[in-house]
Amino acid sequence: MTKLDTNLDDSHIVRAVLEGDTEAFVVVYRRYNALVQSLCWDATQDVAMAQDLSQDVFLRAYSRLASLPDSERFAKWLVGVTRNVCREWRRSKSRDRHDFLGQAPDAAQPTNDMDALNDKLLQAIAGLPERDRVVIHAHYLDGENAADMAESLGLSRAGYYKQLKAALGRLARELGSKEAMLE
Amino acid sequence: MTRQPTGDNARKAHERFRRHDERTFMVKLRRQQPDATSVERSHRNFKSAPAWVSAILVICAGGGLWFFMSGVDPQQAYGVVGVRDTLMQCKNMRVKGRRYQPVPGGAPGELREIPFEWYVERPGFYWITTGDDPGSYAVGDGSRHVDVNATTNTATTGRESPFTAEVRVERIIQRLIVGGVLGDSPGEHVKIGVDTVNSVKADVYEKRFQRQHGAYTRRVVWVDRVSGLPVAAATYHGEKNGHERPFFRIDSIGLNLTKRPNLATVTVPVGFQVEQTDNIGKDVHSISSGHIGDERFEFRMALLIDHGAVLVCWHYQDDADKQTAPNEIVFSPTGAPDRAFEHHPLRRTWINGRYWNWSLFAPGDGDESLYEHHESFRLHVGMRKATSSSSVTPLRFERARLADVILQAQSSTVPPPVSNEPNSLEELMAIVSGGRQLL
Repeated sequence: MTKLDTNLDDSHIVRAVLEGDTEAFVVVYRRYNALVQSLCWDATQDVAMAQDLSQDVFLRAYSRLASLPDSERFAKWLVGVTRNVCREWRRSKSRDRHDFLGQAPDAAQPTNDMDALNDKLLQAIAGLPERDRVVIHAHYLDGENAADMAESLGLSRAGYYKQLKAALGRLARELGSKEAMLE
Repeated sequence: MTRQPTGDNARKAHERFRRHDERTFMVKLRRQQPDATSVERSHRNFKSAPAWVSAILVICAGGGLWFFMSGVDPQQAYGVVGVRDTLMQCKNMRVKGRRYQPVPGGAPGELREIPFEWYVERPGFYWITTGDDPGSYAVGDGSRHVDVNATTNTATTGRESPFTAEVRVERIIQRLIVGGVLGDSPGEHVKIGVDTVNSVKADVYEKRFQRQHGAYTRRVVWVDRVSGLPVAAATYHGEKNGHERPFFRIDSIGLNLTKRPNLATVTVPVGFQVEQTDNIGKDVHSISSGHIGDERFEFRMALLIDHGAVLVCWHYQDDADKQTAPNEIVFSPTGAPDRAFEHHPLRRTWINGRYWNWSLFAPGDGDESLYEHHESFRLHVGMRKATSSSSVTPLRFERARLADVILQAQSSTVPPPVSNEPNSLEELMAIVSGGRQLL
């Protein structure tokens, strides 16, 4: 197993992987898996499928790591890979003649009011523009560290907070709330 | 009444994404072959690719195999990506090279070669050759500075603060070494071939920057194919007629040396006339200065405080009418004059007969990512009679060091009055974000 410092930034980890330390890739997997899963969930609306798809995203990212133009922008690039994998999944799904007509059997069924509320929230997020979705997911998944992640997504800290505020505003409007209750 | 989701709901809703099936993933990863085709095949949810796509993939895989078997390192795709970061993270550097100058009174195009050597050690040790005489050098260690002039046989010495030495070291690294290797002009490096330099097999990259009237600057950098580290670099100036001359060349770059080279110490050498001074380090903060008619300008410290936002200390004044403030201030990335930054004036202070300005410039169009890799900016200042445009390359510091650097820079470059405290990093970021309350 790699002895790599898990606090290293993405560019160091990418370099270690490119130099042959395959195990180092698990560090970025841990770091970004939740974000990738959340974006895959946006596309699939299915938790199990999102988990499978997110692994495909990381495998594809690993296999194409040498083509990453700027290792500092790994996270932004990974979001692009996620977008492509999800797009391909949608195309594949639309071609699939054996699609279920109803809801997929493994889709999470809300079991109580709280679950229904959470689902309503996630569906509303899924309806937002991609940049909004990314900052909102990063915010709720990574809390205080979200701004660090957002920096590597191509936003400054200030830009991140601007984008987050705007995204939360749009989400509040999407949910029919007159004021932003989400912080 | 319909219940509205709250932030807590949002956090709980996101908990479902925290499931890390790491073990399964690592099994898949270890099975993964280092070519893209296997991933495409492993994606069981995807339909089979059309036959022509498969054919291309097979050809590509074959090409990759040939590439590998022909002895070319398949992991050599570093390019120049990461070179800047590598240089910025080094503890010490030793660079030797040559610069070229027209021979005074010589034939047209005749050049003389001036060797140089720089050794820097973070945070505050430096030893660099200075001037045209090979025996001239400056050395400092964060407590004392010695400037030896072999032409006049004099040595100037005095105390130097650790902060001034640190700024000097960063300027040597960021302006001279990184700038000398990669340049600060906009544009992308393009691979133009493979070469062997200092017994190292290197990829050769080139970047061209078009200047006025058909002239251009061509920068070349040799990057070690195995380590991804820069080996050598050169800059050429070309004319519209295609005539090109060397301007600057770095012959060797030593990084993270285990031992300090045997260089002159921070003492005045025997036989030199000594000049003691308390003025050491005043020059280090100055970026550029000049006059246009009665108007004079000077740019001092410039710091990159976040992606794109720049803190600049500058002075611009009409000596005949000291009360007149510039009527136009435009700050934009070099090569992108239409992407002007928002100007946030911080302070205008009257010191020793001059108004000194501290300004914060932040990307104004909201797309801050565009400015991440801009190294150089232009500050265009318009007065009643004339306008001036000067290049500013802000220094970068590690985030952990930045807050203190910002305070020290404001205190030491142009000391503010006691009642006017320097702005902290947090205050500056709040200004950029347009309101701390949003955080």
